[in-house]
Amino acid sequence: MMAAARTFIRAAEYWVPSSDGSLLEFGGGSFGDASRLAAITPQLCFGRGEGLPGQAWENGYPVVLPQLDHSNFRRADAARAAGLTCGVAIPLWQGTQLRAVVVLFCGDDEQHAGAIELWRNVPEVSPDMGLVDGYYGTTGDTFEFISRNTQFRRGTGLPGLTWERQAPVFLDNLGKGSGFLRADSAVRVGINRAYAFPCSTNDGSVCVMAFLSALATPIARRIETWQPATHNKSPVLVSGFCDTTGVLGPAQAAASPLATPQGQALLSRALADGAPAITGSVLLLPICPAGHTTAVVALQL
Amino acid sequence: MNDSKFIQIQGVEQAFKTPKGRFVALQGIDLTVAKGEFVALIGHSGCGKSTLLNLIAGLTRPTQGTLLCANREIAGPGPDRAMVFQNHSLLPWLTCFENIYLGVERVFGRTEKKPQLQQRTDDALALVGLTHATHKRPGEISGGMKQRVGIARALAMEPKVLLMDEPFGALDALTRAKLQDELLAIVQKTQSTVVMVTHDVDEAVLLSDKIVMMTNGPAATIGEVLSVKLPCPRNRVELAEDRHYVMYRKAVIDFLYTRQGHVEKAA
Repeated sequence: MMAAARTFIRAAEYWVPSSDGSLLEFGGGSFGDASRLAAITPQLCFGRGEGLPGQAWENGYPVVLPQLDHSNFRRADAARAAGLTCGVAIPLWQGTQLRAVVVLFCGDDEQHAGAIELWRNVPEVSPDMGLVDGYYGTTGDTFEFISRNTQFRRGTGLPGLTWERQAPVFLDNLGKGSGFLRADSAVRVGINRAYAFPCSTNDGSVCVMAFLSALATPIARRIETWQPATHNKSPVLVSGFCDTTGVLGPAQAAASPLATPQGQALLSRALADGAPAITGSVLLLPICPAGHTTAVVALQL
Repeated sequence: MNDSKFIQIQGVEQAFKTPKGRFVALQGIDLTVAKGEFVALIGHSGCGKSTLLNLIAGLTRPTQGTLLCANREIAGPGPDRAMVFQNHSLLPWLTCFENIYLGVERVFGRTEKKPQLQQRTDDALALVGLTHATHKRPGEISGGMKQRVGIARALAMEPKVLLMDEPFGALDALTRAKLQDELLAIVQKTQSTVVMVTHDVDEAVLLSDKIVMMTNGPAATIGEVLSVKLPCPRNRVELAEDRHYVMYRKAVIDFLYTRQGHVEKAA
């Protein structure tokens, strides 16, 4: 039997404000084979501006840390031991209130290509969405160069489309005709899938986080986008992708790891209160682009 | 004045009345051009590039939105914004000198005396290397030289902005390359702010600081903006093998060809 491909996102955790709002405390995590990281993380807490989660809290918008051995990352040794190369911290805001900070850890090597991009529009400064930072790992610098010099308008390109829809966008099989504007550069460096979602901010800016990955390195085992149902019914699986079964839609909801009563309850709660959750190896990441939750992304690592 | 916002285009829409009803050529156009910046507008035919240039020139007024140049609303054509057309638009009965002098006199005639106006005209001809053709009429010079006279006429008016609508589109490839190189040198010398419409990907990458890529019409808008950070002065022979030049070129081609036929699907 073939071993399952390693995913690009390999570990996830989330941090919630302490009762007095002065610190971020550990809320939960799924660390895969990053055992040292799993062992030391629950004991930590972060002040505003401290560490990767605290930096996202301070900024008010997501942070990409392309090098985990950066001085602002306190768990560098443990991350390096597990082959984790890059971290992303995503603050979840409801209005001006911080609900949580979700941190995703990614890893790649010569056999596993992937990229992360953080795009941001500051309306007072520009009508364009430009790259704040990115991690391009082993994809080489062709794709990175073009990304760093390109700005997207609302509705154009993966970032612009996500910005316009205010909802996650998944593109499979990038290449000719996919409509991905940097398709040629992406395919040349092995990237053929992209997933992007809008992020909440507390400063009026608009942020989009994009994950780009190669066939041999799925972004996650399974990515699902759930939206609230009308008339008090269960949440609806609207789109997604599974590493083994392919594109997902409402018909595949029964096969979701969240199809259990507990999973549905967690989903309903995340949709209702915008708080992340982790069950087993599945991270529930609420999408609250305009301060209220419009969808939940479920990432199975 | 904020030099980074020398030209400001805010929420511009341009619609026309047609026998079949209202036709929206451009919509949601937001763009800023910095002082001294060279911006290329590129896109497929009918995407409204020239319409946008005409709006900046003040030749037409937008149906919605505002356009500002040096913090003043663009309410009509003015000598602060000189236009160079694909068709050189020279008067055939006047010499090269007289064609340029006509514009110079209109702009500076009230404040300067004749010797100064003549000097301005001579300087403009020298700038484009046409001193030897001073007394020739348009019918006696080549297409490339006519276009040089058009550029000299525009620059002689010391405009704040040079607007160029496919200025080299009607020229053969070799003449076009030569004039592009000359334009690069002139713009570097004059530090002019330039907005140029082009269909030519190489021309856009070679000349521009910023390439504004437009979506297909109708209701065209700006899709993507590419910042070209190639060192100046630019040498076309050296750039042909420059990997960054190749990447920029590829990015523009990706945009134009990915968009083509996938108007509603772009992502």
